Amino acid sequence: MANRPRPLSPHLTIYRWPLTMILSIMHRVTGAALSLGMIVFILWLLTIAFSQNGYNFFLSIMESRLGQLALFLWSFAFFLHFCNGIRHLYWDTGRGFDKDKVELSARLVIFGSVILTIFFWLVK
Amino acid sequence: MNYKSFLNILFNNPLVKGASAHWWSQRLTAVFLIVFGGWFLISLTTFDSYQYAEMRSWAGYPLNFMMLILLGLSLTYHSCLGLDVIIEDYIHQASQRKSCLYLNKKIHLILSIILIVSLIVIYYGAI
Repeated sequence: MANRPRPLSPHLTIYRWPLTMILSIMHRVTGAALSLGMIVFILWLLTIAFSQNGYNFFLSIMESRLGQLALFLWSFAFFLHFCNGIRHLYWDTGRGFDKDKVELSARLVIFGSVILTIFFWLVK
Repeated sequence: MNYKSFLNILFNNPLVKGASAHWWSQRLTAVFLIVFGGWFLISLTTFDSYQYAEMRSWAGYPLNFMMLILLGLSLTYHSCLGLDVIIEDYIHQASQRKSCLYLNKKIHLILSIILIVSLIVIYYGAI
């Protein structure tokens, strides 16, 4: 299949950035980040299964300052993707597309994910 | 171009073929992940420590083992579907896109196998 140049619709760099657009991009970014987090999750189980030394090494990395920062960002990515995912499932029922409602649910998602992240690290 | 031949071209496009199944699988695994992912993060808050012995007995406990299997399968599948979409959006050259999609599926398949094998080893080692 030849690669013909095709017309492009207006893109990220053209628009002013409204909240809904930031969230849409963040859903994709956090999704990709969580795919990386999944590999860490699998490493966690792999070392538990096969190597105590390996697990202790894994744990020392995760308990280091950099490891904790990564885990904090991953937890926020998880909650943001989680909340916005629920928003998407709500949209899939055909509801919530009014301009006001889209804006409101965007705010709820951001508020909810920040609260959940803080709460998670407080009780953890 | 008439309506039927347009639909014909559309549905014979390899990116469109199975799009409905892709959409439904993404939603289904998303709902699973609300349940199993939510369960996992709640579980993380209940650990006294992350020491090896505690982790191993926790993950080897039958209910946790079962939940981790379900979480792992939903997670790898959902991740594969999501990265499919990203690859389709950003890799414009058709043959590169095809090989990236192929590679993505294989990597996720291998990851899910590693995950399941690890869990089974933990489960049978913990009895």
